[in-house]
Amino acid sequence: MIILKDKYKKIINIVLSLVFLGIIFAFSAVLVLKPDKTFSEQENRPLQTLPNFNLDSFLSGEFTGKIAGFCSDQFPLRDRFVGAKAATEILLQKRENNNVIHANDGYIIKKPATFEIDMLQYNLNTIDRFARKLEESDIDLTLFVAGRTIDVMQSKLPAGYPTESLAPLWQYLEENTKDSYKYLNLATPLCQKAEAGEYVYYRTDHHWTTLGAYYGYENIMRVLGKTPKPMDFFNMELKSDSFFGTTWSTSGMKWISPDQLHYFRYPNDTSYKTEFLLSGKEEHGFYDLDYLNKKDKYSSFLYGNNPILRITKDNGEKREKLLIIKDSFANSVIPFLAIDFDLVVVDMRYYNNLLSPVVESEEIDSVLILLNADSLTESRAILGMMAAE
Amino acid sequence: MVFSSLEFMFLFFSLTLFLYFIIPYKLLKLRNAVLLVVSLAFYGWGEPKYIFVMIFSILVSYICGYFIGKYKESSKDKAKRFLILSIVVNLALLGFFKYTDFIIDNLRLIPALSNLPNLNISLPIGISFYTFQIMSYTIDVYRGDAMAQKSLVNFGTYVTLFPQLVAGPIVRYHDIDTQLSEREQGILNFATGLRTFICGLAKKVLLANTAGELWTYMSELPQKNSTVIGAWFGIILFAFQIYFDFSGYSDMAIGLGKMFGFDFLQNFNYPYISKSITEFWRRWHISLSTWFREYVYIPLGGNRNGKPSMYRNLLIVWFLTGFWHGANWNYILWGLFFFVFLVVEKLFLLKLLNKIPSFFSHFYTIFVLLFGWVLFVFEDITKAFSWVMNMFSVSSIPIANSQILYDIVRNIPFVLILIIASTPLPKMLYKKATDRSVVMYGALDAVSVLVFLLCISYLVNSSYNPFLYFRF
Repeated sequence: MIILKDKYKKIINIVLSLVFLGIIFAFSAVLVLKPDKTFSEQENRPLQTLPNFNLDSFLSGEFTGKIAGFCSDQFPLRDRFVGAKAATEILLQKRENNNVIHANDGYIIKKPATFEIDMLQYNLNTIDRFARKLEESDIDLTLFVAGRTIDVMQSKLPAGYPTESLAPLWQYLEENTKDSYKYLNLATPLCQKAEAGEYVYYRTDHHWTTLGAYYGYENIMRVLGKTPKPMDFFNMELKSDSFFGTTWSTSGMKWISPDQLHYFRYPNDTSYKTEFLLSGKEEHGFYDLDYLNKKDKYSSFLYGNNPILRITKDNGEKREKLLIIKDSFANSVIPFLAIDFDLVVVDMRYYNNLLSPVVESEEIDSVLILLNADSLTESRAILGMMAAE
Repeated sequence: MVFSSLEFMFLFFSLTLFLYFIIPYKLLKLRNAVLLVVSLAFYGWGEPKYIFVMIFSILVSYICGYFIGKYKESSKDKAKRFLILSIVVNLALLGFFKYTDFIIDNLRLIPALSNLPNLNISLPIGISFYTFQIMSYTIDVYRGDAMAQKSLVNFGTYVTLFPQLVAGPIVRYHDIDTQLSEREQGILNFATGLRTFICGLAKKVLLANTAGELWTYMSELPQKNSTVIGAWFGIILFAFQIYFDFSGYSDMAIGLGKMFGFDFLQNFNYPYISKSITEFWRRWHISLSTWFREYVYIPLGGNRNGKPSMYRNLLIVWFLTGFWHGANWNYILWGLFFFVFLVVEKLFLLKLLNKIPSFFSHFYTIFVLLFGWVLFVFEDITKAFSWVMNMFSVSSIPIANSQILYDIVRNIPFVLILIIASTPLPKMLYKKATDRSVVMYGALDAVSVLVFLLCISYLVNSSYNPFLYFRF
């Protein structure tokens, strides 16, 4: 009996060793032999390929660093492994993985970084300076700040999440926006819609849905003193039911269901000319349908992020002209605003010239800054040279 | 290169296994040569410039060892000179690379020297470990505990063996000298070593790294967000991180050694179940305290020359133990911190601890250890001080806030795992189950393969960093 047990144990030892060696050798072989992938659509970045050896880069540590990057970027079944870690963390009830919160009703929500006042203060000062300059030409500036998903979809957060930590940012905005411009908090109205059960923010992406963008448009129009078109003016087209957004990529939570992406179509919405002012390119309408076939579907709104665009009606009809300084949140709002306004749309992260000449040459009537709260707190580049002389 | 990396496992280790095991098992010298070459490559990978420092030290000590062996019987004086030469060379290298800037920093306190510049010498990896290993060789040969190693290849293999080269355990020469020329290399050793390796990998990747991320987050919280509970929670996480990191790495080293037939001594023995600081140091980083006992404490006289001499010897050993851990005053203080408790325990506390219910002795030990870790983890002593202030709410911070409560609750299962894993319970259950049933033996091996794959998941993920250029 004892001898038989030992024999079985010996067999198990052999099996264990062979399985381990099998895994090691198989993965090593695939890693080294399979042709390298150069770009990851899921992560939206280039992947490290097998680096060339040279003595200098070896001695400086650059080569060894690249090998480490190579092993991880080209690792076989990489996405499965990433998903396995996420699944483990969530099963352990950690409620988060890679700084993304696993919330209720299929929502995954990016955790906000700790609130740093300095950046926000700097950006608000830039806005104030620009607003004063515009005052000299009698042009109004309005600042619209859209909520982050975590602000608007608070009701989906796991129980016990310290939601009071979200308030300081909005309080600061309330207290420190100046008289030189108007300010509107777009998080609160959308939060109310969300609590009423409306699908205003994506579950897997940090942007608002087109419905959310519509409600943003409603609020913007009222502040501008205009009447927004009612919802039945639009035909909601489902453009994709497999939209996996940015949050999905960061989270590693591969099992989360995708979002639905809609366009709010209306009559003659392709009879608009979109001119790319720096490159001279011209397109019609607001949508780049090619993006719908890739992973980054949100970029189909307004052709992704470009330095400066002018949007006018094909038939040359001249309307009141708005300058919109923005981040990607505005991209899904522009198709609504274009109904009543001619637009010049600028992304200061990519537009490195002075803005005042543009205000003059384009005969701007009114200026809007439409950003999401993260943009204001995370970088100065978001406003770039806006107030520069 | 670290064991817990993809390039180690899937480039370096796979190649090493292949090269080592295609050589017939009888050609041990050739297998050792493979290990030597592979180990030098392993070291050179992370430290291409300083590999020569190690090679220099190996050659000097090999030559000294030869002469010590030669003159040991005939001319004790000559042998002693070679012994001193090898110790001086090794300590000089260690001192120069590790402690020069510390010495300069302190010399600058003297007004005349206040402009002394730092040399900014970078520390060659593993130097604290291999210099100690090499010194143990010449001392063992001198003392007659081992024969001088004739083969430079074998000696080189002893020093550079990649499993323990970078982070220990510190292997004393006489513990493995015979294994260099003869050792068991069969399937049983391979499988046993593999199990230990996977266990260590899991401790490092699944437990230590995760606890470490949490600790980093807690330690970087601005004071206005700090809480009393947070201060305790944070240092407890660090205590787990450093234990699982170090013992995990030791397990990997021991496991890897075993796969090649080497038997290294256990380096950790569930230190957190200790009932006293004295017991803790018999269970924590055993190879280091053993080294200091054998090569410093006992040669100084140990406890054989009366109480004052014993306390002096202990003071020296604990000063050095602290100092070995890092070139900074906080490490020295950490060593002396333990000296104080060890002396107090020796004087009367140990007897007391053995009389009271073990719950209290465990509590006392953990309590003391946590303060020790605060001293250890902050190189800046003022930070350590303010952390302790936070732990006792002296700095008028709140006991808790909703953020820390949320963070603690969602980590409860993880912390429970950390606690259980730091006790002998899992191992006892494993032994019980597998002794009884071959089916369990096989099933638990299947589980360990899954754990291995999970470790790979965590490793792959740690470099997973999507570039969200369209974030705004």
